[in-house]
Amino acid sequence: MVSVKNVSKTFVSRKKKVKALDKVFFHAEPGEIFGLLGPNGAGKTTALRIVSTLLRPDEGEVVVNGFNTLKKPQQVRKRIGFLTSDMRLSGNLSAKDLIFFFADLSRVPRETTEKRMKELADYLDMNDFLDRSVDKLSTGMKQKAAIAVSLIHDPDVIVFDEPTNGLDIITSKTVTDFLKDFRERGKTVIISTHVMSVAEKLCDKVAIILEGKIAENDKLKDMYARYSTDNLEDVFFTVAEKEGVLEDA
Amino acid sequence: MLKDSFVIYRKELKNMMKDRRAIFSVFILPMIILPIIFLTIGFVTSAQQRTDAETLYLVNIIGDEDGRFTEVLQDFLVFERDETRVPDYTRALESDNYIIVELEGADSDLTQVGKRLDAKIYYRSTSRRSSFAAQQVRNALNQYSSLIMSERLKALGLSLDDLNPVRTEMQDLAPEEARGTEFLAIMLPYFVLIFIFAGSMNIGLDTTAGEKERGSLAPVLVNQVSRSSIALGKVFYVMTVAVLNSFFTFVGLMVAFTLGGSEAFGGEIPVNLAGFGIGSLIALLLVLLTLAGFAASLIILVGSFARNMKEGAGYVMPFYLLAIFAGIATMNMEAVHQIHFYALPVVNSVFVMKDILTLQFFWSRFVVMFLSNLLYTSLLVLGVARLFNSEKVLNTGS
Repeated sequence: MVSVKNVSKTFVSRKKKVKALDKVFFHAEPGEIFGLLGPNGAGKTTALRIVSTLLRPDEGEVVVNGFNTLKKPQQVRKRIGFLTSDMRLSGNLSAKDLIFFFADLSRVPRETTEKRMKELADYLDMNDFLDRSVDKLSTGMKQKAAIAVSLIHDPDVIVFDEPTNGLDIITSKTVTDFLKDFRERGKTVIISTHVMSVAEKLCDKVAIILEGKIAENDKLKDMYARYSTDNLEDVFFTVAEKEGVLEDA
Repeated sequence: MLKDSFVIYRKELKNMMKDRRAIFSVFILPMIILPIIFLTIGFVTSAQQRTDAETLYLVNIIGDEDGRFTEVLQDFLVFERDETRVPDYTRALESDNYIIVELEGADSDLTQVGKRLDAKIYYRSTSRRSSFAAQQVRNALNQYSSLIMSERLKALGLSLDDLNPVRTEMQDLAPEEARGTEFLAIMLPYFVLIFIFAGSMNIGLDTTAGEKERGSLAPVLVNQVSRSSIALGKVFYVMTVAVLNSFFTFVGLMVAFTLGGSEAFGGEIPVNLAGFGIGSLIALLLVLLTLAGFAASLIILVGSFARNMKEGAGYVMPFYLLAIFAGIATMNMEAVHQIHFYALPVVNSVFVMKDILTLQFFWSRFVVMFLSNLLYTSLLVLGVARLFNSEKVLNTGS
C-alpha cells in the first residue's frame, strides 16, 4: 500500500525556484495498478522519486506499507522495486551478474537469489541471454533484465516511471503483461505515463497531474461515469481545459 | 558499511575486468607503450646524432692561409674545404651541410701578444645539421685558441698548467648503489603522477557522471545500502585501478630505462636499479596508494557534480592540468628540506618519491606525507559521502 498525502516539492537553483509538486495526494492499494497521468514536466517523475526515497518531500508525507519514507527510508527501500525507462543497462556484466549485484545490495541470501533468479528467468523468458553481457542485449532483453534486477528482492511495491517510453510494440507488451501479472499477485503497482492508451489498458486508478497539482484522482470507471465518456483522452482534455492548462500551452 | 562498500567495489571491478579494452589501456598499455616511446625516441635521437657526425660537410674557411685551423677542425668534423674561398651566403642559407668560417687576423703571427683572431661562423640555426657543424667549428676554434695560447706561454717560458694553479678533483661520497638514480627521480614521479590522474579520470567519471547519464545510479540508490557505502565503494574501485595503472607505469618505465630508453633524454644517462630493495618498493607502493586515494576521491567528488560525462570531463580537466603542472614544476627540483612542503597534496608525494628513488629515506617526511594524504583523502571521501546524500547533486542526471 502506498499513501501520498499533501506532498509538496520545490527545486531551487541559483536562477529560479520551481514548485514541482503542490500538495499532491494519491493512494494505491495492493492488487492495484495506479497511474499518474500528465504531460511532460507536470511532476510525475518527481512524485515517483519521492515515493522511491530518491527525493525528500518539503511538505506532506509518503507511507509505503506502513513505513514513512522520511523516517524509515531503508524499510521503504526494502519493499520497493524502482524502474525507469531511462535506465539503460550497460557495461560488460551479464544480466546474471547484475541480478546478483542488486540482490547483494538488498541483502538477499545467495540461495534465495538463485531460486528467484530461476523463477524470473523462466517467467521473463531470459534463460537464453542470462549469461550474455548486457551491452550485447537488444532493447527488449535489456528491459527484461532491468525488470528482473528490480524484482530480485521480491518487493511488495513496484514503481515504474514511464514503463513503455521508447520501447517497441513487442517489448511494450512484455512490460504491460508483467505489470498486470504483478497486480494479479497482489502487489501494488504505481506507474507514471503521458500515454493515455497505456493508462487505459493498465490502470485501476488514475490521478491526472497538471503543473504539479492533482487535478483529478479516482477509479478509472468512476471517472468515466462522472465525465460521461469511456475515453481517458476526453477526460484529460476536459480536466486540462478546466484547469486552464490548455490556454498556457 | 565496509561490507556494503565491497559489494559496490566488487561489481565495478568485475565490470572493468570484463572489458578487454580497459584491461589493455590500464595494465598492458603502460608496460608496452612506455618502453616503445622511450626506446623509439632514444633510437631516433642516437641515429640523428650519428648521422650528424657522419655527414660530409662542405666548409668554406676564409682566412686560414697556413691551414692550421683546418687541421684542427679535422678532429671535430668530417668535411671538405670549399676551395672557391668566396663566401656563398645564399648557399649557407639553403643548404644543411654548407657553412662559412671567416677568420680575420689569421695571417698575422698569433703567438705575438696583442695579436688577435676574429672568427665568424655563418650557419642556419633552423637546420639541425648546420647547427651541429657550427657547434663543432666552435669547439675546434676553442681548441685552436688553446693551441695558440700554449704557444704564447711557451715563448714566455710557461705552460697552460701554470695558468691553472687550482686543480680540482671531484669525490662522490654518495653510496655506490645510489649513484645513477637521479634520472629516475626526475622522470618517474612525473609519469606516475600523470598516469594516476589520467587513470582515475576516465573510470572516476564513468562511475559517477556516466552512471547518472545512463540512468543506472537511481536503482542502486533505491536499495538498502547506505549512500556513504556506495561512495566509499566507488572511491576504492577508482583507487585500485589508479594504483594498478601507476604500478604498471612504473614497471614500463623500469623496462624502458633498463633497455636503454634513457638515451631519449640526452644520451648515456646511467640508470641504477641495483639499490632498490623490498623496503624501497613497499615505501613507493605506499606513496602510490595514498596519492591514488587522493586522486580517486578528488575525481569522484568533482565528477559527482556533473550531469554527464562531457560535463564531468570539463570539471575534472583543470585538476588534471594542475597535477601535470605540479609534476613539471617539481621535475628538476630536489626534495626540499622544509617539512611543511610534505603536507602539500601531490607535491609531497613527488618529493617523497624522489627521496625513495635516490635512496635517501627520511621517516619524518614520509610520515607527514602519508598522514596528510590520508587526511585529505578522508576529507574528500566525507565530501563524496555527503554529495551522495544530496538529492540536489544525485538527481541531476535524468
